[in-house]
Amino acid sequence: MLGYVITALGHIIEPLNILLMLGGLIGGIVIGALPGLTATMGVALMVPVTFAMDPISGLIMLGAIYAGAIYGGSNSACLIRTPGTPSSVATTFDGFPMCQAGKADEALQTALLASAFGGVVGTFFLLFMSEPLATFALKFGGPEVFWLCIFGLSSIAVMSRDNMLKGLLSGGLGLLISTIGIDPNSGVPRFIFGYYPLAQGIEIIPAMIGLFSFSQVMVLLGSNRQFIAEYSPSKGAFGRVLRKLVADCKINLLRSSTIGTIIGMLPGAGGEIASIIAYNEAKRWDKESARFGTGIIEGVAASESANNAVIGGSLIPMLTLGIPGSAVAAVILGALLAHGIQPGFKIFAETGDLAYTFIISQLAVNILMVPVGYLMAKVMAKILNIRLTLVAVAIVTLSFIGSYAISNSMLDVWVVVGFGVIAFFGGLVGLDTGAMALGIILGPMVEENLGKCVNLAKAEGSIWQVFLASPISILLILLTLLSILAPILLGLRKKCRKTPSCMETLS
Amino acid sequence: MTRKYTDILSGLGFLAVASVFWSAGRDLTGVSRIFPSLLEVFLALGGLVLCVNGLVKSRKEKACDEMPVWGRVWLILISAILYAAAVPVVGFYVSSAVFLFLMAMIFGKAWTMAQVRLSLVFSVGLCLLIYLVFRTLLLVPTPAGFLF
Repeated sequence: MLGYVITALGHIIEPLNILLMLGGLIGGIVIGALPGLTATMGVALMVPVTFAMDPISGLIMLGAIYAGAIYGGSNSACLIRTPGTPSSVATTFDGFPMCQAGKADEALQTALLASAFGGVVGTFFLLFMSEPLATFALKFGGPEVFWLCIFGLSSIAVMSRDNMLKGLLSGGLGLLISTIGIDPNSGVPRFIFGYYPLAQGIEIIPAMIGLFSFSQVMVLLGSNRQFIAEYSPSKGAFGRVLRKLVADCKINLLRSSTIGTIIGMLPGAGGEIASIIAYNEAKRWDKESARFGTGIIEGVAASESANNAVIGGSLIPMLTLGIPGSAVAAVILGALLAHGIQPGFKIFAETGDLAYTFIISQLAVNILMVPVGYLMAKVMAKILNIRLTLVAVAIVTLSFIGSYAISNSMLDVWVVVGFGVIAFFGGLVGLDTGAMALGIILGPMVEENLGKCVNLAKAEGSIWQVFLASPISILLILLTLLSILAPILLGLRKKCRKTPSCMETLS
Repeated sequence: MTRKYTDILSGLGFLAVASVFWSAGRDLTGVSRIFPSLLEVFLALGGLVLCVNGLVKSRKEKACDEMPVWGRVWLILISAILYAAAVPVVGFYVSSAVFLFLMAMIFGKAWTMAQVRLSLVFSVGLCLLIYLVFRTLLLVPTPAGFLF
């Protein structure tokens, strides 16, 4: 392996490859920052360009676009509460409040450093732990993925501590909305209300743009503010954020990056799930969890490190087994096959030069991301100096074209408007948009795997043997119970502390 | 609005959604029915609990800090709906330019020549930028109508 790593380092420092990494990063960040243009789209668009290149250079560029796009989504998430990619939904929870509090520089630098950290951790897992992790990922069948989703949903209990019932109902509403369209198990169209285009279902990206972005336009224009936030460039923000991350967020970053890597390995579970789970875990383990959502560095760090760690995770099964862990990994898999390279365990032996160069390039890309992202963040933050009314109406146009671009369907534009209205008016009566988003994202996976489990149970004649057969399932059930009960128990303890008689009984 | 009313309103909303989905999914059978049915029951029961909470408990604390300026909210919402309806008929670029110009004027400070110039530059500039990025650079199609 060491020999391959040294050869890979030689490839990385070639001027053309450095240029491709820089170009890929800049292009990726722009694509990621624009709502509707996803990392998958950016990478897929550039695959034909790689055919004219040496496979190593082509893969390096695709990897740079992937990393840049996932990070780029955080820029619009922080500045205008519009998740540029679905992976940055959780970044809006604290990134935008930070921005509104005049800490846009801190929010952007946190997203940048956390993304680079998450990307590096994910790549280390890819470099040193590929084989055991790929074998572990293979153990995730229908029941395990089902329980993983339920564990993800249980984080609503942490997300909506103030009003858990409304949070749970919002999550349920999201799940119910995700059933619109073709049933993943039987292929029957459901809940299309006589309008056939609805059979395509509710696309996640337009729904997220509606929930977080279009509703925000209504909030912004409904206020009498002149600017989205007061912004004046803050000197020394980078150093302050770096010191804070090193001093207070080490465990948070490591935990979130590990969550991102593990979730990234599982086919179908992507950055959006990883970042929300990592955010909620950061909130759960924080001593003052009520701070989350008010605009704190820890929230942005958790979400961004997790979604960039997903990249390394999603490449593990792709390189070792030929099973992509995400849609982008599937596109990169297609590029590998087009170059005549067959992924699988043998890739490290037969084309080790290429495999290790690709992995090491991911390390280089994440390190290069810091200076590139730093300069681009400075430019992007200027958006806050533009008058609010102009930014708000521009968001409407970008939301429309961004959602249309997903599948060239006007229905997606109406989904943006519809979900914007639901989030705005629902927000006034306590609807939790974060929980609803989680329901929409996890819904298809929950139902598909529930269907698999039901069919398996019919074949095996026992529902318990299917749902409770594996140790992974049992572990996930225990984690889910802990996730639901922890806020209730903590709440009781808090109440108890306020009552002296209760404390006396306990002691 | 106090918590009492937001609980009742949200409860009624969840009940309404559950009944709409229940009515639309009556013909479904087998595995297609299981998951939505569970969710419909959950939403209906939760909605009922919220309504009862709102009626029984007297929660007078405010649910939201400040109410929006409703005129501006309705204006952007209705304009966006008209804009979305115009896009497939007129074409994306023309309808976007008109929408952006009108909104920049209406939400602008005053109807002066300077505001007209700013709104024109803003609407045409943004449409050009979208054309360059989406159509020219990334080859992403935009909705077409009888105009551009």
